[in-house]
Amino acid sequence: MSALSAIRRSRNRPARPDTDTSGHRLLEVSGLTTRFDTPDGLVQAVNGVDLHVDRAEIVGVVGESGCGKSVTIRSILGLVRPPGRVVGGTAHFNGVDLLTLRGAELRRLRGKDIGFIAQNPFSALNPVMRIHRQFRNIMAAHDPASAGEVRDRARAALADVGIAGPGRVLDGYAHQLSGGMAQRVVIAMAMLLNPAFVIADEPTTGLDLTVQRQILDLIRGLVREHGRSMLLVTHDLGVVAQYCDRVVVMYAGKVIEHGSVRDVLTAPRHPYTQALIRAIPRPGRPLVHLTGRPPDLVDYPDGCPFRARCPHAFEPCGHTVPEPVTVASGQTYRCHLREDGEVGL
Amino acid sequence: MSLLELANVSKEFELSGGTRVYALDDVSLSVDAGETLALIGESGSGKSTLGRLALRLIEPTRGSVRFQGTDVLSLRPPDLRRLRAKLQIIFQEPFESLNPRMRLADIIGEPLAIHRANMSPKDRQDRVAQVIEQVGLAPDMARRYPGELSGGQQQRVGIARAIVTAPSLVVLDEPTSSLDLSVRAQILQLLADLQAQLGMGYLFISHDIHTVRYVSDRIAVMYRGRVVETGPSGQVFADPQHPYTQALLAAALPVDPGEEMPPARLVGDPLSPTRLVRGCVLYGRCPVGEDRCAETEVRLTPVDDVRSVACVKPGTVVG
Repeated sequence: MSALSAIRRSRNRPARPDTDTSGHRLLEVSGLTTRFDTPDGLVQAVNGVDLHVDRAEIVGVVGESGCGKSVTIRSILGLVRPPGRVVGGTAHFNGVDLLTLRGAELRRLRGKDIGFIAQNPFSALNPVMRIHRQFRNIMAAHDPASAGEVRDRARAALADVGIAGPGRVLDGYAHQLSGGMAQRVVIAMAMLLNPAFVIADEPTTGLDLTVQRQILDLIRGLVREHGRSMLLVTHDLGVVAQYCDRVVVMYAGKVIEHGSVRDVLTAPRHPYTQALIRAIPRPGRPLVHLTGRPPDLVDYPDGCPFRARCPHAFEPCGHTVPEPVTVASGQTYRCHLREDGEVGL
Repeated sequence: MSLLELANVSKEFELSGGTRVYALDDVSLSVDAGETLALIGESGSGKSTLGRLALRLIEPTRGSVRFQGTDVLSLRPPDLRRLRAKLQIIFQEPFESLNPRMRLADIIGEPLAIHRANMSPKDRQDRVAQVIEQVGLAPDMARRYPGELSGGQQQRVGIARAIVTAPSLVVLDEPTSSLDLSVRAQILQLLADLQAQLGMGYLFISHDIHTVRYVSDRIAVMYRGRVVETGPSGQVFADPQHPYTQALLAAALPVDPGEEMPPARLVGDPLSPTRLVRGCVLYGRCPVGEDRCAETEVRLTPVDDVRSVACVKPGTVVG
């Protein structure tokens, strides 16, 4: 089956898991490797990332700045620009390896099958084009329709994201919107063509706290109601705890732990995940914090990338990269300390 | 006597088109020596404006600012400069507040050059070395430039520069917001240690509920230019009285997946700050608001010995 016919097939498939015949796995990323060739040297941003998303599942990707979480999803979406390039791995979506697709094929897939919600709504929206034109452009690229139909569908999409006066928003420009409203418009655009899969990159960073809650509730509602799946990139463990089913923890361009949210947040196995959770200020508890900082991605260390900051580092950590260890619940971590649950700080 | 006392402070800005922005509306608060008052609020709530006003980096439109009993607004430049040695600020973006062409020793020593002009170079050097150690930087860092440091190290430099003149009060404007979680914890720990050693008062401005809860003795909750609730932080967190405080605390997502998330309480976005509001600033978003809230003037009113709330029906809990 050629890539393109697979895309066509998947485009015709409604966004419901029960009609799927190819199993429950929607996205399977394996060995994803992305580099940036900079004047300072080759930045090893993403180093053999494996992750998957099943149907009707929300998977969080969490980590601190520079851990490679955004580059990972940009690699999957074909949005890495030079000097960055994806140098290895596969990303199978509905059976098609996204990394082998060319520009036009990928563009067709983005929007129709994969909706993308970027961090900053004002950079996602065109500042000099009325909002309804932007809706029309999205539809024209995928599904040519009459101007009247565009308007009706855009109005419906805006109503779905809780915008009370959709007509006024459609006739206006991005700068006339508040941050929360602008992100609602971006969400409406991402959902317009009813994609089965949504990728959201820090969708509420920069929004006011009370608005963040509204937006997260909205996104989750739109995903759950239609049986969609979502990859949600965030640095906020609270977002992971409350909105995700599974979580992937990244450090220095690698997945260092993944599993169900309950397992990973309540019984983290990797010392980095443990430290991350203990670094959240809580009254009456001493702050436990890490010293140092993540490794230089240009001069990538041998062995475990967390070694230099790890309170448990011992001899093998300096030269051997820990292989993933999976425990009964499916929780998986990369650490040389393997006694069941006894990695504790 | 309070260290810092702001009384009935208002601040209006005029934009280029003549539009007026009502950034602060009749705000009163105080900070005592050795305590941390956290100002919590969302963007546009006026909390950063208030921090700058406390240092007289900007002038209020109305109201008074007193520091250790002195009327800050009436001070002439030489006296104001003397005062600034005791009143320092730490900014959110450490890198942007550090001159990239200066070595750390010069950045940290600069306030001494201004405020302790008669200090000998040797004494100045010793004092700089002392604070470099106090903020947990290696001694050899003194010769480095800001660009060579990580975000956490840069913020340590910002802290060193603020404490080098031994201030009594430090305004911290989102000091950890640009830092990663694991680094943020290091900086919060350092700030707590320094306060315990040096007895400084902190006016700690933040939108992060976890951070505020951890650092503050008292909190003032700001919304749209007004303080809507104030009190000891333990009590405010345990039993918030203002509907906005309730919503704000509910918006902090519990990191324990077993802990239930409170329902979202507010609808819509904050009102534009270009509108002068007569009644309650939360009117229109408030889940318990009534028609009278649009017009009734609500001022911060004591609900007990230590807490005050600006609401016509404080303590109402939404089901």
